[in-house]
Amino acid sequence: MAALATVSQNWDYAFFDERFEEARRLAASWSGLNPLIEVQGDITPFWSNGPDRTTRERPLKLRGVTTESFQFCLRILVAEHADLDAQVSRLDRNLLLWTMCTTPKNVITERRHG
Amino acid sequence: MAEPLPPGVNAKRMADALERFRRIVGGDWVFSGEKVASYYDPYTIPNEAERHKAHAAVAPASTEQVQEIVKVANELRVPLWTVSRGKNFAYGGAAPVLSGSVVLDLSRMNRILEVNEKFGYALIEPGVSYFDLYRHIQERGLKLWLDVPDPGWGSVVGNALDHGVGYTPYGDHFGMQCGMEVVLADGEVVRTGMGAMPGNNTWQLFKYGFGPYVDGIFSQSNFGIVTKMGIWLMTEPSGYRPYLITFPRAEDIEQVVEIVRPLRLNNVLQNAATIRSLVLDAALFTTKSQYYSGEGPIPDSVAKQIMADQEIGMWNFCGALYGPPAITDVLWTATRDAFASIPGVKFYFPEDRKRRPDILIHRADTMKGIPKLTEFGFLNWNGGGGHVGFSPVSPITGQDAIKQFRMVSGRVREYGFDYMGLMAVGFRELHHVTVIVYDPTSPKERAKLNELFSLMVREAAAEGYGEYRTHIHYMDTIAGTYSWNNNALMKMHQTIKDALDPNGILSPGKSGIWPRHLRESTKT
Repeated sequence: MAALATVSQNWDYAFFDERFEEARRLAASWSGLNPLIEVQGDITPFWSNGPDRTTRERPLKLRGVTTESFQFCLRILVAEHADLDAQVSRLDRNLLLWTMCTTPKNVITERRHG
Repeated sequence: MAEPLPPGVNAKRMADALERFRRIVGGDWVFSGEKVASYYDPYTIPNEAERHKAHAAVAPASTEQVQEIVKVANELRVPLWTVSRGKNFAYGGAAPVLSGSVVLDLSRMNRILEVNEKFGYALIEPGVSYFDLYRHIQERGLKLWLDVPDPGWGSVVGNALDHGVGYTPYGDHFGMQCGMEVVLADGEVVRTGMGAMPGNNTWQLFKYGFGPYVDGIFSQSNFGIVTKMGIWLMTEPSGYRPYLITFPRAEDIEQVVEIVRPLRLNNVLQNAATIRSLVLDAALFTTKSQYYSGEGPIPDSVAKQIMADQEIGMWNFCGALYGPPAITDVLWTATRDAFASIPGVKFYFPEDRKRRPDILIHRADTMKGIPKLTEFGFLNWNGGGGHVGFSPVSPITGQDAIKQFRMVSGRVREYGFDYMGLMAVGFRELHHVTVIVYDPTSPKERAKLNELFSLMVREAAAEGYGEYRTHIHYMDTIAGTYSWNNNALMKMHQTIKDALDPNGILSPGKSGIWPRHLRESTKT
């Protein structure tokens, strides 16, 4: 878990659940290179605002200190369009510390509206 | 652990089947080895690791490919477990009842074939999610609304086939389906209703066609594979007014439901409104440890604190009014007056709610058909994240509501869980859905959950309450409670199964329906 928390690299998105002190503290310790995104457990407002598309288009490095629901929903959504290498550790009763590296699936699902 | 093989199928025959599936759909769309893990139930219940494990998965892109796959499966006797998108996580996700099955994943069949604004319907394939259909409608500026269940990532077709519910006036999803295309086990393609008539233009307008109405036998069943479905969509109303009514005491549910029944039967309540319990609503936006650090369910003092903090009640009635103000004003007056006699009742419109996030602001989206994932917030209540739904149906009476509430909440709390329930108001019935959130990583907790669930099914059945839907692990158990006249209904299901799918390749064990060659071996 400690190794997970101290990984030093650039991330496309870094999420923290702003409701929890531990999440705020950990996020503050992350590199300034990480674009930090405040969340409150619900992924809906974030997902359709870009990542739905970018996950299909290019590899992404994601990290977060969030609740179970955010991590679970993100993992399921990402896995629809990308192969996923994920590591998850439980920080406490409320929070998970996690990383996800995504690679778009080779073949894009056909989508034909007619 | 190696992927299990289904009964009667050896490794060579399975390998042959997968190779032939690859020739049909392409190698990228047959999944085996570690890639099968995405078809596991993420919140598995049984402690036996080999239960409900798929051997592989195949993802066709067209009806024609589905036809070819079932022909191979029939020849080699390989069982297929059909999922539309496999996102039904409270009920098993994409995992099969029978271990060793090959998941037939229809998520690539995601064409929106038609959205008709004039008549208010869509014709879609099973891989289309609520998010997909909503986006399609929004991008084109169509004046149509979806009816969505709580998770927006599920399949529109799959949810209707599983008798899912939503929260607009179109909340009975299977009731809103009109016309299917079905691939039978022998590869034959059937279109139901008016779709059976060449050149007909009312396939999505009139359900019944001529002769027996067969669509129902393809819901919650394993008699065929639905590859297209019509679904009626609501015309955007000229006005919309969501509201929240809160009630302060647990026992208020009896009076609330007595008031609800005549309002619903008279269409004063226009939508599939919900009466939601305190913890279910609180859990969307807060966690238990923010209020309580003890073991077991929260005490009454904590419940009162949550009610005060979040401006919610022990029960929270979320409804909405649809139509021009001249109509909705009258309906609101009748609704408000009906509930006003309950001591401590409070009435809210969105503009009255100042907290963010807020339950009414969230439900206001859902009751107008905007797909979301917000409801998964309840996973965080205990931090564990596993969840399963217990869903008995009852008449809309106060007596039944309080009886069910006491039975279920009593047992749930006895086993150390908080009661997280809702009562969804149907046309004539209540769906009492209780979500049990548990720690899926703990074998002890899974065993406790399993014991609790089995007990609740038995107790509900003893009182005449049946579940309308269930997790794959309990399909046999629930089917066994529908036993009137020496299991006459199940015998009929088996007769149909044997006629349509004599080799038993389609979703063995779905809804407790087993093919002939597995009936004896699967008795527990």
